Amino acid sequence: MPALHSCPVVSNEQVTAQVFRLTVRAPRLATEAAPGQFVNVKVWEGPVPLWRRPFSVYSVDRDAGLVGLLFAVRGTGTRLLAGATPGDTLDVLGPLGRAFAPPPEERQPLLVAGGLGVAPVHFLAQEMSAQGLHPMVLLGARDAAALCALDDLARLPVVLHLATEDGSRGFKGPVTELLATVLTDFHHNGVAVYACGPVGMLREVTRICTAKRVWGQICLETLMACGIGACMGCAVPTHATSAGPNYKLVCKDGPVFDVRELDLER
Amino acid sequence: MSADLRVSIGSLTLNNPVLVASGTFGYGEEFAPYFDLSVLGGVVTKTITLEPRAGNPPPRIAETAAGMLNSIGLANVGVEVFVREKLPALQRYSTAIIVNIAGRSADEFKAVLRRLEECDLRIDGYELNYSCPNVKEGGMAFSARPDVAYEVTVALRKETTRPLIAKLTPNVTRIGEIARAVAEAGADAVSAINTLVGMAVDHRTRTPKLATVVGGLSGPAIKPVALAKVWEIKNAVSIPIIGVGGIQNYEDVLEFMLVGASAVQVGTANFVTPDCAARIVRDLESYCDREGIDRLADLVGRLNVEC
Repeated sequence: MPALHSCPVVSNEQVTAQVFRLTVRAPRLATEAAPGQFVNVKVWEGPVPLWRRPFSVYSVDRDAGLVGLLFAVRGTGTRLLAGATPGDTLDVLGPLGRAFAPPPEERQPLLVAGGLGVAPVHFLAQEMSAQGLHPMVLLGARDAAALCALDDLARLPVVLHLATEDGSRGFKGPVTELLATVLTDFHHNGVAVYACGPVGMLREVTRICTAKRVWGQICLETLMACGIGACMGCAVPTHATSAGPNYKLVCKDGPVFDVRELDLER
Repeated sequence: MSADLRVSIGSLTLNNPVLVASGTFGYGEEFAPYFDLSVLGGVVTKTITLEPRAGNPPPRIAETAAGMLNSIGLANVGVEVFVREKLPALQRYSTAIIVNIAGRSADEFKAVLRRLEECDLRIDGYELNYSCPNVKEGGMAFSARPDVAYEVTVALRKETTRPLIAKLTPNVTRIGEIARAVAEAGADAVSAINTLVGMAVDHRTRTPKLATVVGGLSGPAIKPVALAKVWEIKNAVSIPIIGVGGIQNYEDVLEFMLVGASAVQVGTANFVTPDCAARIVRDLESYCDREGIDRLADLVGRLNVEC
């Protein structure tokens, strides 16, 4: 059940030049949040910036009642959040949105993350590992310095493959190329793909999964105001019907969608 | 002894002056996890049209300084689904249910209204969306010209005895004239204001931030404009005014009431703080207790303008 939480900041560490890992004490959120869900954080009391900022849940520690978020400094809101320190309290709305579904029929989970898309993918890897599902994780970024969450993923019993576009670490090329390569080892009925990253990457994941008839889910990140389905600002197009274009809301119908649900080509 | 927060909008008595604005509160149920909707003076539901509408292509929203731009495009489920699936869920709350309606023509407005009049569900009033800037057909045109606003209101007045509230656009030269036209046509009240036409640009990509290029500006940034429009209307007509525009806290409500609004609608603030309207009601109660005010409605129009 989503709710407003007043969350003390436990830590806020800088993990790369632009990326921070923020941990807040939020026992109820930690209990209720599922991988793929997000929270909407009020980063400032005043009216500028006005909106909350949505962040995928990166990690939970249910025993300690902690929730982790991973974010990059991209504008005023995230710059303010980067300044949050222990002793501060954040106003957090959540958990929001639709979570990842479990893999059907004991398929091998293949988790694909591009850039900061690693946030929900890390939480999913954490949960799947706890359930003994042995996920394989493909983590991609522009270059080695931009690979986030390597330390946390290395602590999990997952098979981790890296990809960088400049070849500075792991496979040289986009993580979707690595995905296409890895998929050749699986029958289409034997694997379940879960992906999060920039929309261009998700478009490619959608193409690959559709062409190979692989079960897959993608997690979208987009601009949103309310996070609860009221403003209808976070619309994404679905495949057009005879009635014309149609849209789904990332905050309420997603952020996790089946690869067949959306028309990311538009 | 708690203060009397009740206010009257024509024949309609609200438990308190705090409503939530159309398009910012979904169909109501979206906010049920955050507070008991019965504490509100009223819920104004998302604009309903005769047929379902998918809305405008994304991007539909942009954040601006102390405000937001939207071009949702009246996305809604259409009147049939609204009556069947959305309106029943609101019945259990003891708050006024105001259904906001729109049409591309006077006939389409009438068709929506008739369908709602036919249903056996509780509806406490209608808000007529004469003022959405985000649809190509109709929309703002209905409240941009006094003669058109008059004719449509006369036509709708014949269809119902329930309170009719005309929501006016600020994107006109003289909003008082439009208010006078709808008052003469039989509207019981006006809501002022709808969003201001605005625009946001990304200088890096050299593109507009909205797919529709321009959209409707809302939020705290427009409060001074809304107060001025309420003041202008107050000096033009005697029907009640519902103030809308940038209300975030109880002090904003007091300002609108002093200027002449009998009630207010909380809009964009619902997106930021889902229980914002409920907090405002609580804070108004505390304010009255603290200040020894017995009847909040006594503040309406009590602005001291001798300076």
